[in-house]
Amino acid sequence: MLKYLSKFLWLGAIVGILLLIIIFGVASGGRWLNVLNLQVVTRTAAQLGIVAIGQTLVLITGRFDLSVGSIFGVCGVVFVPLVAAFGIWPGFILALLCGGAIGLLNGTLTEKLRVPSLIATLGNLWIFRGLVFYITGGFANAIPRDLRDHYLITILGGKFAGGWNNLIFWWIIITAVMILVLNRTKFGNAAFAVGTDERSALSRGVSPATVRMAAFIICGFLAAFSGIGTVADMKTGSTTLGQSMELESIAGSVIGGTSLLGGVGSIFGAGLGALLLSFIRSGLILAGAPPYWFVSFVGVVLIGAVLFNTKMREHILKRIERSAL
Amino acid sequence: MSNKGNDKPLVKMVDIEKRFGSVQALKGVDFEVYPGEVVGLVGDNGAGKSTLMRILTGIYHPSRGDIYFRGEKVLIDSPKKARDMGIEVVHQGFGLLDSMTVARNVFLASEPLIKVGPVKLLDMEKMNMETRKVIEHAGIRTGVEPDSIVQYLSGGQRQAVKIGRAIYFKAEVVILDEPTIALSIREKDHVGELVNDLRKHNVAVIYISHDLEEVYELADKITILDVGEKLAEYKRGEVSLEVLYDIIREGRIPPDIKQQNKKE
Ligand SMILES: Nc1ncnc2c1ncn2[C@@H]1O[C@H](COP(=O)(O)OP(=O)(O)OP(=O)(O)O)[C@@H](O)[C@H]1O
Ligand SMILES: [Mg+2]
Repeated sequence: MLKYLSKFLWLGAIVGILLLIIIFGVASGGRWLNVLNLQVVTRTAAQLGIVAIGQTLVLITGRFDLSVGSIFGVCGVVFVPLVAAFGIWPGFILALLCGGAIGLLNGTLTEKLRVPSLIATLGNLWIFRGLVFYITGGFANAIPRDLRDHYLITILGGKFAGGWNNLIFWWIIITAVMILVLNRTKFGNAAFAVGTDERSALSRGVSPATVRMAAFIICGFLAAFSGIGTVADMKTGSTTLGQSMELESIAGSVIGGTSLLGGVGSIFGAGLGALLLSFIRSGLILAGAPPYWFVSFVGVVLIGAVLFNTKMREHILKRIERSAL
Repeated sequence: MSNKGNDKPLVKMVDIEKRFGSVQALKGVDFEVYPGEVVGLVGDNGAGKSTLMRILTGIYHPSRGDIYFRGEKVLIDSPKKARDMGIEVVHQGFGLLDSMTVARNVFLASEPLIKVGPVKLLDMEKMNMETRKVIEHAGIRTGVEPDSIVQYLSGGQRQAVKIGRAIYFKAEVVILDEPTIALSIREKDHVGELVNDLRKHNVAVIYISHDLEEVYELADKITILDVGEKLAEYKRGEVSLEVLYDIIREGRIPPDIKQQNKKE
């Protein structure tokens, strides 16, 4: 039974979400649970959730990607001038490719040049945040009015069924695809293998460098997609777009049961993690706390989740060992 | 005898040299193994046994020397290449992924796939079915299923899975690098049985161990390395276990044995 339950890495996140729903629901006298608020909450969750999917993949292979927030930002803001210059579709594809290219850069630095991923992606965090400032000139830039009604903008950032953001729909699709990729493909198997034990994976003929390179590139694409979708939704991109998302995406992954040591992780869990963080954000707003408190909270939650997951897992493993005797 | 008429070496390594900076781990070693032959590779710590095998499995590249496979000169420049050629390694410390199931471990990097529209997905049904065969063939009796997480397997069961996997993939050469460290007596015996099973399947086996008794019992031929050089090589029964101990302890061949060797 315990052995079976321990497979569900995201149980803690479910418990957390249910608790928050009850707490916020009661504390706000039911106000928090209205549709309008849930639409806002799931929209921010989707923005983060798509990024957290890529982050989870990278974490599973045993690496970190601290540059996701800046990829999100730079691809989001560059989408605007690209679209203005080349049209919607070429602009979209070019902005998306920027994400993949930064992922490739991350992968090359860590896997070919052997820079630790924390350092390489931290460097890119700052480099591309700088580029965000350069592109926006320090302000926000907006999608030209005549392009805002283009169907692609609507597909990416519009709304469906009375106010739910289309990114939520994309988030669900990408989640489903990535669950399939991780659990039912050669690449997924290789990703878990590489993150669990690089040497053993290598001895079976799996190339850790290739697998991780692919993970960084996919992560880059996803962060870019989410950033572009967010700009398509808001019609503008500002200098702070995607800021602190590296922290939030890692926290989301970890809350969902992904291990920072690699080899263990859940895409579904990352989704729950993103949702939980988004709940917390709205709860803080509800409580009237200034927005900057959110990042502090994410820090607390991240550390708490790591502690909880490792302690709980140890505990369960011990129980299993004892019951096996 | 046990060679079943296989009179050509399957693997022949010639004049292999390997330097790590100033350390010369191998100083021109010749090594060969025939199909259906179990070669015991012995020698003190740092003799170069693992290094020689890492060269054969594409992890290291030799500084000098050639490798022949079935009489043809080959370049083994990656572990994948070695696996594709049918060279499998069983190592005490690694080779299985703890957090993954037995089935996923058995088939890692060689997964059977089914086409679903444009995408290729793992054929889980086949993986589980075939893994059950591997488990049964490897003689694992107690409670290991294809979807068991490897973490919960005993040391002996792990080795059995690795050897079973090698047999399943029709390995032609199986390298066992200290496969019985930390195993119970019964588990050691089981590994011994599996090695004999490999020999029966006409697999060339290279068996590295510090347990000379074990090697003496299993091996058709014993190759002794000493600080990067091949000190001696004996067929089964050519020397006694005591002499073997002496040679490795002294790092040289006692004079009376040398005499014997020359006569051949
Ligand atoms: N990657 C490496 N870098 C530097 N030196 C190495 C490396 N690998 C092996 N060596 C050196 O090569 C020599 C042979 O090592 P090797 O591991 O092959 O010995 P071994 O016979 O397998 O010993 P043991 O019985 O202890 O496993 C040792 O001196 C070792 O320190
Ligand atoms: Mg060794």
